[in-house]
Amino acid sequence: MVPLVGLAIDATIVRIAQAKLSAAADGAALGAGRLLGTTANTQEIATEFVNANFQTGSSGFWGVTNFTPTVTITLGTTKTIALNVTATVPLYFMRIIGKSSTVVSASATATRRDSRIVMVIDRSGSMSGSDGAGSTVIADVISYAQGFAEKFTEGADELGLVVYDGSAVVGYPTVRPWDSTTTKTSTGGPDTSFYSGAGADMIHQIAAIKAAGFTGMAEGLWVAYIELQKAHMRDMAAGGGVDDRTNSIVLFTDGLPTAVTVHLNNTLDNSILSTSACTYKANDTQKMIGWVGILGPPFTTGGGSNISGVYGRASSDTTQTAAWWMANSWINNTQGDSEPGAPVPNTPEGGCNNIYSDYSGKPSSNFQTSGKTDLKQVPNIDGWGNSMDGTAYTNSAVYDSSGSVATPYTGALDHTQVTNPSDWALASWNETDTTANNIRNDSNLVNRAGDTENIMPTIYTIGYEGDGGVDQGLLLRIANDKSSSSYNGSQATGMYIPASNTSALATAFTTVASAILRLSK
Amino acid sequence: MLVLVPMLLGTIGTGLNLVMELQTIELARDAGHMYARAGPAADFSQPGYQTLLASIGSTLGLSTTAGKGSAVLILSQVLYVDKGICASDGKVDGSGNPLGCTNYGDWVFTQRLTIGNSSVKTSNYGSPVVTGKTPVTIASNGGISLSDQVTNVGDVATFGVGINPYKDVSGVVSGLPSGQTIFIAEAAANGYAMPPIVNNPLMYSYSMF
Amino acid sequence: MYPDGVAQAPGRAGKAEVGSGSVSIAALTFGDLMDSTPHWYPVERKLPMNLSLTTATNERGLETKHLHDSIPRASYAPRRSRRRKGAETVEFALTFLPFVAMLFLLVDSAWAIFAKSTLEYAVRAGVRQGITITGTQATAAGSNQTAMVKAIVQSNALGLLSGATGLSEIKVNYFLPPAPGSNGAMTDVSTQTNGNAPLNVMQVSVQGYSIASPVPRMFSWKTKGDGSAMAIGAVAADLIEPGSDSPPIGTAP
Repeated sequence: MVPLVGLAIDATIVRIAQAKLSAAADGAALGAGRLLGTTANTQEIATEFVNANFQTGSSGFWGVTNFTPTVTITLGTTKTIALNVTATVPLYFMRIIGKSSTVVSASATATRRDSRIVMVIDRSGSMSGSDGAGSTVIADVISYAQGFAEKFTEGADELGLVVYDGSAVVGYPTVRPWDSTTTKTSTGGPDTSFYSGAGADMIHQIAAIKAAGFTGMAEGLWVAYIELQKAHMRDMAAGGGVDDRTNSIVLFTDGLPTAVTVHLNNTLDNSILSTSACTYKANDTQKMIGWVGILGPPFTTGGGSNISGVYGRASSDTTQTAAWWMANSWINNTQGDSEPGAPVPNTPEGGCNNIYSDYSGKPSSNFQTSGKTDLKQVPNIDGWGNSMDGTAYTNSAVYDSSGSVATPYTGALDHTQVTNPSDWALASWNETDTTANNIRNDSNLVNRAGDTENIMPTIYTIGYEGDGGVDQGLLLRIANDKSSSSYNGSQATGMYIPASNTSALATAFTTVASAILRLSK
Repeated sequence: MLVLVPMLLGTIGTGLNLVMELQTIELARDAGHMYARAGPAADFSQPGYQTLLASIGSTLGLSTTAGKGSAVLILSQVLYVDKGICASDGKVDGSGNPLGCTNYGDWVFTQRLTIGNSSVKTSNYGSPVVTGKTPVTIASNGGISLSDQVTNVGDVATFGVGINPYKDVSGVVSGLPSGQTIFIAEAAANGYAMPPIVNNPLMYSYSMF
Repeated sequence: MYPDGVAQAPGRAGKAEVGSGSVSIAALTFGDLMDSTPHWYPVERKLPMNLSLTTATNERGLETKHLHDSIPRASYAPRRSRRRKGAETVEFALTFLPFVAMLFLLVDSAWAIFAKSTLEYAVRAGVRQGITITGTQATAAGSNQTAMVKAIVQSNALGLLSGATGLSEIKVNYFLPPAPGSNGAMTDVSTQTNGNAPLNVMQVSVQGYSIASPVPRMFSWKTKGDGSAMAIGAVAADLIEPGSDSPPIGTAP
């Protein structure tokens, strides 16, 4: 009878002690594990965490004694903390048959890989609006982005910065001209000196950001992807063919995509009318590449004055410094870009009738009915090779801080409607969606010589709803959030975090930092 | 008989309470781990998550309706207010030293969620003061604003040296990078009362991540 | 047992017969009092019968007959009043059933407590290890996540959940958390291929498990002992750890 009662009572006591021990070990592994790679003394903190979770001694937990935590830390790009905790539990009934105590143990392991992150920050015109708390949204984002960067470890994590208005430009590292190739000798890519204190470090670059212009979300993402690949190739070459870091893109936006990149005389998707006067209409050796801005929402049908372009891409500029580009947006860029066939200020592009190159040109007359003499279609493929075709925009779901609002993405995409901003807007939705999907698939792997591993980028999106609304449907898909309408289990799962006001925005940045910092096997 | 009856009552009473204690520990651990993993992005104030927690704590009597049931689950996030936090709320002077940063050097709550019957037990770590002249505002998702964290004395947590794992050395918490929070889950339940053997049993367990 | 050659009705004291022979005295037991089936505990005491009948005259001058035996008194047990004979036995009889009932209840509750705590522990172990299963581990084991979790639960249940029956009582469910800001419930995605995506919820539970009582529960003299099974359940849940190496989900729940 006594052994039976012993079985019930003592066994349960032992299980209780084991459960608590296991909880303590897990708490310590997670709590200390997120500090792996920082300057913290992880060993000591893990021990203190375990002690905090499990009080022993006579006033402690069921009279448990001999509480012994063992912490093992291994370093490298993948750092591991392994905890093994044992304790002696006294038995009350079983001692009658001679067994007065038993030993229980629990173990937990946590790993953290060093990170490689590119922040992609929207600096469109709406960002200079008020944040409802006495400041501007861009000022808030600057300070939260700096705080975000400061959470990572200089010398261990790699960080980079991309800002975008109608066109995207790399803010950190500051090397110019910008290298768009992805070989092991390409210059640029996030590095570990982002917080070095130098005048050109990432913190300073963030501080210099000024807002103005359209929202070229897709190009922002793609440029960030190129940056990740460059750093990956560089580290692989330095690491004997192995690169262990996690790759992440953190996208912040406060609105809807309102710009697309174009390659008008792309041999795969020529958008120039055969009757056009453009010199390079059939000659792709002089690429007619740039970007087009769409005014709105609301996106009107008919009204070519609400489409602006074609402008030179900031990323291909060879004149200005990265610091200049932080403080100046496309409006100040009177230089045009330097690509062959590039538009020259105030002159129609390469013989064309109505494709102008700069803001001080004639935006109001671009793409009007008479402008149809140059373009025959809204392109199907964007300037970076990503598709703008399809019906992905039907997944739009726009939310502002008060809730759901009517989506401006109505109708069906008709590529022949060259003067309809609404069709360009539908194409830009598709462009952003496809770009993100291609990034998550690491579609450029085939073009990286000597590389066979998918870098599995994880995308986190933060949407500030207080500036007229963001497209939650789009941002969930970009991140491949679990709630996304196109969730794909074979790609990395990211997160979408909405923020309806400025303090929620601060929390959003902190959340993403914690999600990346926290453990990843 | 003299041995048997107390033994029987003791076994039943203690045994049942022991099993409930085991469940309390597991609830605190499960909820704490999920909370620490998913963080504020996973909103534990959402009914979907609360139903899940209630099913884990069902034997303890955890209910999704506030004020009902015989168990409570308290989720808190605690943050150390250092210079960087003061600066992010603008409460620093020109050279970065805290100015008007009331809670500088204290541990404060950045989030507090209570699920179930809050009268079962109050938190061992204190609670944000939500009444009085300058109450702390807790949003529907449990969040507490940055300015409350930095300037409202009612938001300070009881998290001294000894129960928290980070040594506090003259305003610098060693090891914890600025802005990182500690996640605490506390579970408490009323056990089976069997007077006179078992009186007013209260199961309690916490876990810190 | 009855006196030799004498048919006896049960429940009666034996009759002494004058003359030689032996007497068997059948003692009453509690069984006689309590139910219809007699349980005899005969106490056979064979005595050399040396009875004699004497005649005496009482004070009123009438003749009375007395039956005497010649065995010295000392060989008998001390005499007591017939009413108090067997009082201990009766007391024991009265308390025996509650005693046994309580004993059985103790055994049953101890066993139930043990089973409940074992199941709780087993599901917890299943979740704890299950959320960290990687695709590499699943391939090496030639198995999938759900099957591996169920195997872990079985091995930690100390044989309570053995065999195919036990396996069918373990349920592994996967849930998709609600979207931010939504008041919806968790969606059960156990049957979807990507139901075990990182940061989904994995819930391991034991349902439909009933423990057979080791001993029957007795409540009264008249009713049979109740040996029916008791239903016990256990639930544990946690978030699946993030990672890029997801195992196949298998057949869930």
